[in-house]
Amino acid sequence: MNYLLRRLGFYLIAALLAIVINFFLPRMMAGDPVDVMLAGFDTSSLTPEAIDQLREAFGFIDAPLPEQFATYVSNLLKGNFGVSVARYPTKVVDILGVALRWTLLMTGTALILTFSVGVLLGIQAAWKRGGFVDTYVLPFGAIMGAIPYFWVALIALYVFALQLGWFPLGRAEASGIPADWTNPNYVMGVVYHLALPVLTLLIAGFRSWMMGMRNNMVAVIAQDYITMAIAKGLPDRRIKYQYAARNAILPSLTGFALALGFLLGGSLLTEVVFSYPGVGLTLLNAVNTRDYPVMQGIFLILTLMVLLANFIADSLYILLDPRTRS
Amino acid sequence: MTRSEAILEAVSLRKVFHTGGVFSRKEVIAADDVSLALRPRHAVALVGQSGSGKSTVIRMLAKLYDPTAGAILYEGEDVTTKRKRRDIFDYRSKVQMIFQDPFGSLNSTQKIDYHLRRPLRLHGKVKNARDERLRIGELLERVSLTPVDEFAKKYPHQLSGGQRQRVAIARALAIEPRVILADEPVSMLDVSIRISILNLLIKLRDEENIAFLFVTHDLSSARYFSDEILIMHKGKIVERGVSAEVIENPQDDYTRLLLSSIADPSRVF
Amino acid sequence: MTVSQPAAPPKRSPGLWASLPDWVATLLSNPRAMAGLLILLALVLVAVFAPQIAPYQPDRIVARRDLPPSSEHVLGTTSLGQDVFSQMVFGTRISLAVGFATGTLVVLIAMTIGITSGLVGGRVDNVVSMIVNVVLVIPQLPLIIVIASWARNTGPITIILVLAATGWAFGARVLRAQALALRNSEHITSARLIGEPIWRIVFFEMLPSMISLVAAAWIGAVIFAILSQAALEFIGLGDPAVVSWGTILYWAQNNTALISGRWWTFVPPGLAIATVGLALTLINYSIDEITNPRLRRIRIPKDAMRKPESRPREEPSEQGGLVQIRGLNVDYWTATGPVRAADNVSFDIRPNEVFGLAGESGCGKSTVAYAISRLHFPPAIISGGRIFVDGQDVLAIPDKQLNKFRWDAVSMVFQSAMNSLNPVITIGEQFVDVIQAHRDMDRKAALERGRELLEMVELDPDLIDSYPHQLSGGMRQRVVIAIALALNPKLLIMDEPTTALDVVVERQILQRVKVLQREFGFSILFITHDLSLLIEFSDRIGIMYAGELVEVAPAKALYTDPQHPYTRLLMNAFPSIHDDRTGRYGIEGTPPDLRTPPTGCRFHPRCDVAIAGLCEVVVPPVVSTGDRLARCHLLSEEYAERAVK
Repeated sequence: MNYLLRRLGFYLIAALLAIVINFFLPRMMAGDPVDVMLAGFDTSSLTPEAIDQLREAFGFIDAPLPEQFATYVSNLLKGNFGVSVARYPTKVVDILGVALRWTLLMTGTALILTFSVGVLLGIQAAWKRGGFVDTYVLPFGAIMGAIPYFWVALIALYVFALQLGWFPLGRAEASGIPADWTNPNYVMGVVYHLALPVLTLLIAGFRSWMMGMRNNMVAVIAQDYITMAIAKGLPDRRIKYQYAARNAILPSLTGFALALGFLLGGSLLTEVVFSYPGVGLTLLNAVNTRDYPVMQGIFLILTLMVLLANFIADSLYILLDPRTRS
Repeated sequence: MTRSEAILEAVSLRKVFHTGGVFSRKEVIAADDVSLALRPRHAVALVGQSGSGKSTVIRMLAKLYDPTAGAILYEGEDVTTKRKRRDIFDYRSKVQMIFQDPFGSLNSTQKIDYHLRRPLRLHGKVKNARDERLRIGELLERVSLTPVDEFAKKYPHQLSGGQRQRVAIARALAIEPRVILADEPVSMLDVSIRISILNLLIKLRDEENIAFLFVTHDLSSARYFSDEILIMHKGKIVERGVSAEVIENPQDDYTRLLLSSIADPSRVF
Repeated sequence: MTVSQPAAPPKRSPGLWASLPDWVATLLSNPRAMAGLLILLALVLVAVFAPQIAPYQPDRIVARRDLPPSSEHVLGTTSLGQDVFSQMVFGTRISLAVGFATGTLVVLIAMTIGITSGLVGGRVDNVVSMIVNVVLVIPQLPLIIVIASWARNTGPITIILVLAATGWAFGARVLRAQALALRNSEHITSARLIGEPIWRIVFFEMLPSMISLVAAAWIGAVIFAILSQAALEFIGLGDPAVVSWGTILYWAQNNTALISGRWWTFVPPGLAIATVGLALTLINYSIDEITNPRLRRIRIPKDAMRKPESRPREEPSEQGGLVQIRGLNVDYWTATGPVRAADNVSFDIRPNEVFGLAGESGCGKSTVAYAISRLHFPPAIISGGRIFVDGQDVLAIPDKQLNKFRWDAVSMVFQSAMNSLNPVITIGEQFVDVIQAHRDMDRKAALERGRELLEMVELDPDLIDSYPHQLSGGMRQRVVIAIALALNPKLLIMDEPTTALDVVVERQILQRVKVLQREFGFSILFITHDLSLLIEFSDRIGIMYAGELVEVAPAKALYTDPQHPYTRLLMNAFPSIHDDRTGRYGIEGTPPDLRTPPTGCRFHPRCDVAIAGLCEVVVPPVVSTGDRLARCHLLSEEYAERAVK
């Protein structure tokens, strides 16, 4: 439990850092941040009260920095991430709400898939040196690591959706079916739209797990307890999974944060390519319209999600490694 | 044996380590009330099993760790609290150390002569390049790495463990120290060459009047090399005395246990 | 000399660069690394000579819009009518420049932070490593986007700065860990002790050992930079007026090139990025292989790998021992060919006896032990000989039946007690799995047997529910011994079982093993380099030197009257506890390199009684007299005759 508490403290610090970055970025730029924010917009529709409201949401009040920061944090704690300047007066939270669900669906599915496929392939590559996975899949993965995610998505979209017509060209739901999760047709539509983006993420993303797992496996296989397990005459399956993989997966979990970060970045861009109505597409629109409140809101929310996912991975670690429990 | 003045003395050294992170801190007493004195041409063995605190003591004497309490006296002067670069440099120009791992203590990217040239230059032992070459040759000869020109141009990985340990000894000698602290200098070497390294150290002790502290887990080599043996157990010195005396007539229970555990074919046959 | 001369100008020390030639040579001899370097070089040349290579100005409108590839425009034109090929060529400049500049900046930051933190240690290091981990846990792309969008002016320079500011943490973590490990190494401590100044320690002692890591970090950072740059530009955060691979993709996406099927605007930039990535990955892969020998593959010819069971069966000799080893050869394959680690080794282990095997590190004693359990895996191969255990031809057992054979007749206690147990499952599980793999016994009964075995090695049976890390080293070794006895084996191999332990614990454990051996009547093959211990503990002893068995004798005979000069010298080479401290000397020279073993008798270069003209030429015969044998010319009849003459 001590271990989890320590990790929790660490994530609180990380969250604080993200908030600090968010808070200081606008203040580091030349000129009045709100003026910058509004630079590209027709401000005639905004009343002076609305502008003040914006100021307050970001803590741009006439007060010393610590007080500004306090205002900003207390707003965040109340769930107030400010209002969009491009779609004024829609709240950032409301814009994100729907998008976040689609992103969670896509990234979550991709995470589970890339993790399982990558880890299994990594186990196999290390276990059978010179086997199929080691000889062909591993170099393929290495090459995929050097190709931009979104470009893989572009090619997949071009080949499988546009040329072959196997998959839809974009969006998340089938048109003409009302959103109803109890309706199998609707769910099928969602799955159909999800399939290609997730597959491209899998193709482009399994490698980071595979490489990590394979390197850990190679290191673990050289350990004395593996030699002893072989000498004990245990069945190969037991040595491979209970002795080698069980130990090799532990460092993979500690590298979880990094891999998740990459995957998330990839999935944001994949959304852009597939016009998938998630956070990535929202972010793109915000970038194009220079909608700073939305951008910053997205950054913060995504960071918190990643921290949460990491915390879950840490809890899993405790289940798998008895040494952390004492 | 005339009992000469101590060069280096440890007086009631104590070292407490704090382990754990920010949230949970534990105290470990690694060494407690350890006193010893090193004299010229005299070897003291500090014998203990792993975790007994012997490595902590030698590291305090090399000024790699600061003692929590107690004092280190060099020629009667208290050097415990001297932390200035210059002071530590001066101290180490008199007190040198040899390590256990002959594979790890040399810089694998540099040739052997580099390892000797650096201490010679740093401590101003040579005047010019010719002098430097001569000194390096002389040092290699003293540790029996001949032909010297051949060895000077080799990389550490081209040498055997015993030869590397000789280089480490030559490096310490280059500084012309009065005290050498040897941390398990033979325990990682092949059995067949351990004795020759010990014999080399004995020769240096006798011919150059060097004071030795010999840290080891092996009572037999402690007896072979040292004039005096200190037995360390759980951070404390439990027995001390002239080598033969400690081994033939042990007083402490732990020493007796240790002695009865050591393999000795002469006891069986 | 009368006048003290000023110090001669010191020659430029090789320092950091001294390590390069070796390292670079290895890298260049690797075909993959070579391919990567060549691709990279070609791309750099394209960037440098872009004006000469490109047929058009990249931003000039030179033709109609959206033309497909033709001989005029190899990669067609953009939606504005610019030549795509020329844009690609010029784009190489910005993309590579940003990649290399960011990579270099990232590595410099990472090195400064990582090495400082690792070197200073203590609280500074605690804080720095926490900051590094915090930065790593924050999702990078959203952070980059937010920073880049606030920076507004997003030309290449801004992109470099933003990417460097967010990308340094990974390299810093890796380099810090390495610096920390190095700082505590004896090599750095030695440098500190002779008084090396800090800057020399960093540049001459640490950096050369880290150079491959730094190179890998640089390559990783360049890949990261090129990918992130493309992503930023793709979503419109770059300067669209600058021609780079990323902006070509941006314009393609903005002009709906995909939907309209104009593949020539979006396929080439991706391929170009992939090519850079591929080249860098190839180099990184090779660096990995060079620095991590475990990833290296050694080619072993097919006929060396032939299965032992394909050899004709043979029967063990009737009057021989429980274990009969006949002419055993074990080869370790290296990049330069096989090295024979055990050469024509033959001996017997009798029922109910402790057979000791001694010799220096690398003499082949463990190699022999592993062969008995068939525990050699490529690159180690049993290339000849026979091993019989209780009448069974061990080398003829088909692979599929090996699991049944292992541990049942022969079990083994390994060198490192600390690491022989699986750290993530309980002691009980590790009894249950081995018992159930060999016996038809339910879980409960197997656990009960485990408790019984723990009691046998004088441990609390309740330890069955603990994990290995909860036990001390000595306790763990007792557990391993208990597991080794679980199936009542005929032979227990103990390979330096107590080297890592305290002498007191060692003695207690060995005494217990001896009691159990007498009680259950199994045989022991006991391996150690500690000859005194071996003599006390064993009934008979074999001495190995340079892969060969040079003497076998009953323990007492070996102790009182060693026949082989090596045995004699070895016994003289270490002090005994009740020693009078005279007449001890080591053995001249060092054990030979097995790649080039000495001719004739392998011990002749170190032997004090070698016969010139004989020992370095003729391989000595194995001379057996009564209960003992030795491999030495001095004992042979031929020599005796010659001596008489």
